[in-house]
Amino acid sequence: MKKTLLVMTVALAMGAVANAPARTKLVTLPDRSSLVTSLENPNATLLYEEREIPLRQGANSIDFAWNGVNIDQNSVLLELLTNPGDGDTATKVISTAFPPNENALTWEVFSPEARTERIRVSYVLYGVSKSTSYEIHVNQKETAGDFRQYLHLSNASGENLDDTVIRVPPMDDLSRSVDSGEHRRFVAARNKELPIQKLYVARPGYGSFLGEDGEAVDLVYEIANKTESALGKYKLPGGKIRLFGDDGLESSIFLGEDMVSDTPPGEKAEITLGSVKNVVLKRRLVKDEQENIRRNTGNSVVLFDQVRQLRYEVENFKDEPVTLKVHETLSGDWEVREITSDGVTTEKKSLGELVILVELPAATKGKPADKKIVDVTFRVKNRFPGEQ
Amino acid sequence: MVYTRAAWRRATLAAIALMLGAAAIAPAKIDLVTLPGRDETELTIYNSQDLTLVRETRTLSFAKGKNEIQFSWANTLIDPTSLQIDFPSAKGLVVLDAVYPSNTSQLVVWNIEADEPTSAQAEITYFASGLSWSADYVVKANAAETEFSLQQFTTVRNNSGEDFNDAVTRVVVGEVNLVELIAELARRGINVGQEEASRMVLTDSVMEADRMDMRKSRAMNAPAPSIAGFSGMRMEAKEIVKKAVSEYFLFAVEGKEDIASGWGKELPNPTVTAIPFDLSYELDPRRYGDQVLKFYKLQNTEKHKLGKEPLPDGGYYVYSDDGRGGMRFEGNTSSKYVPVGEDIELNLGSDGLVLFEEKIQGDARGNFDFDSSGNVIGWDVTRTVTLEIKNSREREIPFKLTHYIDGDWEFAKVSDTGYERVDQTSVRWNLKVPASGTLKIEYDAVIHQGTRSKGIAPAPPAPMPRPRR
Repeated sequence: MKKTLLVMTVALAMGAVANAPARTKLVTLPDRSSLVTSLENPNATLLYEEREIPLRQGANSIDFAWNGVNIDQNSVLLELLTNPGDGDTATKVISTAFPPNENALTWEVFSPEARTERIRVSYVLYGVSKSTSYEIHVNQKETAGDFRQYLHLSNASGENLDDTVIRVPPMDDLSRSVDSGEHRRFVAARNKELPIQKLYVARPGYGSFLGEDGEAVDLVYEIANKTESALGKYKLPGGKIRLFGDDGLESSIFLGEDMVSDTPPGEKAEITLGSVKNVVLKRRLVKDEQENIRRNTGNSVVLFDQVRQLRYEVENFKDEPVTLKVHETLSGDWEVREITSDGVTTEKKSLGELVILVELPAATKGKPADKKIVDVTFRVKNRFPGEQ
Repeated sequence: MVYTRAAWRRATLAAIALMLGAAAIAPAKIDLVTLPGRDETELTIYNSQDLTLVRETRTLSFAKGKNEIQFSWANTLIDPTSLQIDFPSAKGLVVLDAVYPSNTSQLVVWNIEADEPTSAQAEITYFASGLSWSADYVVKANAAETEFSLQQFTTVRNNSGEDFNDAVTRVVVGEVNLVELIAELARRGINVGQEEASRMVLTDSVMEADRMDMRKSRAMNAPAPSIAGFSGMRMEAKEIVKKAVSEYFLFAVEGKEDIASGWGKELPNPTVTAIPFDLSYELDPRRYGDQVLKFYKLQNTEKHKLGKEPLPDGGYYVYSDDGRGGMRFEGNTSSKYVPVGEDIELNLGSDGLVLFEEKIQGDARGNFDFDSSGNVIGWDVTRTVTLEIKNSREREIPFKLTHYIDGDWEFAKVSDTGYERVDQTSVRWNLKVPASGTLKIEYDAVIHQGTRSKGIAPAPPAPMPRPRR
């Protein structure tokens, strides 16, 4: 179902009639010696093919036509590779003619002698799309996994890509055929021992305190696009990632999936796999006071510091120590004034986000889980009335 | 040859009929005519309007006394008010008037007085609709993205309904003003009233100016000699002669072209190679949105192997060497008309390899002003911001960051990377981001609010209601 056609048309008379409405063609079909499908541009696919064509002395017409294929006509380009340039011995494209109501064009090519010329025809083709997905088979200890990056190629262009070199740097070239209507998946990269950090993550809503109902705690695997992870050479494009776990029974189970965004070299990606029940977080507002209050002459408050104490009650029902990561959303000019528990660290991500890491010991078998209570006091300076 | 009006060809354009000693036009008359072919056709095509100035040269014979020249057309759009006939090299021929018969809209008859029997070249000019031209460019950069080759193509498209053979083709760059669209005038035909008459005068004067220009530049339109031994086939891509005319720029294609109706024809200019350019990644949210864009930048100057003439507005297809013996499609973009000396910016869009992130790390208030009632009327905000550029390319990249901070502000502290305060609300950094690395800029900006601002003071915060007693 090849839908593009490169036709070598030898004009029947000197003074070729490249643009006469009723074209007469003596057709030869030069063999295609290579086809490259370049998917490097995120928005368009470039195809280029090279062929050896016989040219006679003088004028030659080369037709390029397509049907049922979405080609950007303005992008179709003919390059002469054997005898390029402007000199007397060069082969030259004299003009390009576009016939009416046809997906076609005709190059008028001049050759100073009868000879074979290698040409490259390139064009932008729409309908070929690429995407990325990932799969990790996590080991039983959940410390590393067999990581695969897949390239997906969907060909809805109408053109069969026969024996094409698929080029998506920084991947190595792939030689495949992708028929029109076909979707193909290729392994783009693999790391059998990709380090994984397992985390439990809570993202409480701003200003909402669910108290006894508990906050959602998600299972998260963190991977790093870094050289120590045998990655880090190029950006990991965003896409769906599926995780499978070794079930210890010589089989595996599906752990969950997530969408990850573009991860540049040196960055980490968090893969969220859904809520867990074995790590529980209850979060309460236990103090909300004003300090350093300044009033106007009418005794109304015009400026104050807000002091809030949040209590985190954390329980680990698992028989292994875990790290709970709480993404706390904040506003205003805040600072952490006090933390009442050991084994807690904080990291200010931005003005709006504080990360609180709570280390939890393993539960003792047969005994109730220890409850860890962490009080964190924040002071937000110079609030205006009405700000929360 | 006998022509009745009903027998005029419908599928082709202009038939010109010389009626020897003809009487005044009568509705049912039968004309005895000869049909002289075109000696030469010249097309001057504008791209800012649907406008082509067509000049035909035909050799006509005249009898002594009054002669009628009848010019008609069908299935093509000609502004009848623009039709002119002239005899630039003949003496003793006077154009008495032009008659637009009341019952047909695609016909004009010129009454011409001849002193004696003669044969002369007539130059007939008119405005036609349906021909257009565009400039297209192909850019091929080297793998290091330091130099590129540039080839300009001139594409003429003919949707006029008329085939033009052996036509001298010229294209005009520049904005030409038209009071009415040529296609509209062509469809309307002649309906002479007061308003129409004034339009005709205007159109005639415009066209006369064009005709004068056309005569001045005729020398450069001489057909190229054919190459012996190749039956007239050209050996070279056609030279396109470029010339400034008033505020316009004229591109004249060497030799003659056949452009059949419905067809387009693209003619290449010589390729300019090894043009140095600057690769630049840029972020300017208020100009381009939130994505980091990739640019190729240069100037239309001799330093960049250009600078001889303006570059018409057009589409650019940009490729680069992919370092694997192949080519990479960088993108297609358009560029405005670029005068000599002006910057050329080829916006290639986002390649997804350079990301930007802005994080506000602090927003501390201080330096409060209070009014006599103790209400806050002014304060400073010290905003602490981190700007991160993440480069996924395996090469160092230049990065131009335009960043906006509204209000009355100044930096209290800023990373030692060098910056330019462009104006009140914008600051710019020209940076180098390491290969596969991240560059971070941090600053504290003090933003003055209320009475502490030199600008318009925002409304001060409303005091909290008086506490209950």
